[in-house]
Amino acid sequence: MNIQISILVDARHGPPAHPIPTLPGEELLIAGPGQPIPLPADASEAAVFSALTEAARGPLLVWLRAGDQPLPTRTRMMQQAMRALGTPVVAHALVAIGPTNPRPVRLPPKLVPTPTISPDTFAFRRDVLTLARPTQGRAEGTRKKLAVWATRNGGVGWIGQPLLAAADRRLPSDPMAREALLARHVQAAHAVVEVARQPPLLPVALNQLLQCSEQWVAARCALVNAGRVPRWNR
Amino acid sequence: MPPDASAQPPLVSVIVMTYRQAAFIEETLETVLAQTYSPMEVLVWDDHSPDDTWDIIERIAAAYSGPHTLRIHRQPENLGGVGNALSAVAACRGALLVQSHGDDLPYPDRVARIVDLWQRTGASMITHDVHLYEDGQVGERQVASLPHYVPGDRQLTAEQLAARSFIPEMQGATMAFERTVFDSFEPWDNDKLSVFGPGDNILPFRAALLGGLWYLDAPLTRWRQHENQVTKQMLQVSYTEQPVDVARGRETIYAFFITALLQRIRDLQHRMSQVSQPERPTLQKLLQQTLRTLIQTTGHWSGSRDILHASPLTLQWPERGGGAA
Repeated sequence: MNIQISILVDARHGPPAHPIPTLPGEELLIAGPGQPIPLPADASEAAVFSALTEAARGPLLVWLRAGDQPLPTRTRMMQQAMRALGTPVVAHALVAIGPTNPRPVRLPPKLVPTPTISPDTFAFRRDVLTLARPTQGRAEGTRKKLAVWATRNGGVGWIGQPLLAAADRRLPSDPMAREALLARHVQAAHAVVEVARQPPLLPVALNQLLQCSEQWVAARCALVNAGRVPRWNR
Repeated sequence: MPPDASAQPPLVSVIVMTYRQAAFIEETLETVLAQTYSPMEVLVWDDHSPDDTWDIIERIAAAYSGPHTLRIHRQPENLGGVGNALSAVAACRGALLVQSHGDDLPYPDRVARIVDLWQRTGASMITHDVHLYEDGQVGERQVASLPHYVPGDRQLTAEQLAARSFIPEMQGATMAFERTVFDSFEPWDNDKLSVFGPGDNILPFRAALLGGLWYLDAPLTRWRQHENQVTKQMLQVSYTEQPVDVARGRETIYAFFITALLQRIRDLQHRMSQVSQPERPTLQKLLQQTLRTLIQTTGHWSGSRDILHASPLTLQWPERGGGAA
């Protein structure tokens, strides 16, 4: 069969919870403990990226985190967006937040490194892989680096609509680590709002800012209400 | 709405919230109970202070025989500032509720002047200026000493408030309000607010959406400055112009502002669901302005946080020592 799209499933943290829909011309590659591409649960992002991309045969690679449930049309919508925009990388909104817009747009480069643009929503052309170097030591470093490279080489496309039902991203149980992570999310969401001054990104970005801020404030209030005070120290 | 000024004077409830204020509470209650206004009830609500605060309150209450009704209550366990305040508000019987901190010293005509302006304006909240007070010395007025101070009583509109995270006339220690600032909105959710004075930024906005917020341009209380103030404990006040020192204080206070702005947005959304169609466009404009203020404030907060991370400093969360606002 002529493979058009390879769906790369990162199953380091567990197998897919639901069957993953595929269309004719799509192949499914799953990497993780006990999966067809065996990798330990603590394998680095660079290792799983290399294992999956080396096994892939399609010209378009679509990332999927095991546990996320994609729309059946996800891969085709990303393919169409990539063709329409001519970008080597396309991302989409991770969660449903406020008004959505399926019309693809080019992301402002400033937004690409921010945590708001989730690498778990990436699709990328296989031919650009040789230009992207695996990055060790960061949870999403390889895919992020690829996207940053793409900002200087054709751009990164964006579909302002969630194309999957995201499984819960586990937040740190330690309340201080939770506050720190959620604060970074707010900063990222704010960066998106600052750049996305007009539709179709602005409503999505604004709602994301509100949602992130609510989560962060709740984490901060939990600490303050437990009798803690914030102190910035070396 | 205040009762008709020509009728019997309305009952006013003065709420004195206390926690770990053994050093100040006697002097505070002397000044509160010396208020010239009548009829007045004074509720002294202690948040389970571990020091001698409650013993002093009980002693003063047992000896009091003045014109006001004095009601005292000790929480069976520490509820935090918001929980204690809500408990006191629920117990009040007055038409106007006057807040007084357990370490501040109101002047004798404070309540009388507040009631006078309330009756003349129909406002849902009155605030006023304070004298700073430290080590027994009365200092300058807080609002009147600001660079762009404009003298005179004035109404502060919802539009003015929506455009700012904070205005100095919104000083928690000075607030007097009608119960509607609580009853006309959804109940407070402690998971979305914090013990550190969210009322300072939220209740005045609610009042401005209802019968109005008025600022009385006179120092009607002495606002005590001391090391155990929650305000001082929560904010890492900057004493230098070093960017890192400035960012320390700003990160905390902008975080507080964001908390309050999110609550204002929830309040506006709630209000929009309550009012008739013709009133909604005005509220929609206020919502848009509040969102712009939130974006701007988040930008300031984010910038402060970036400066601190680059320093490099990390945010730690030690236990609070306790104190009052």
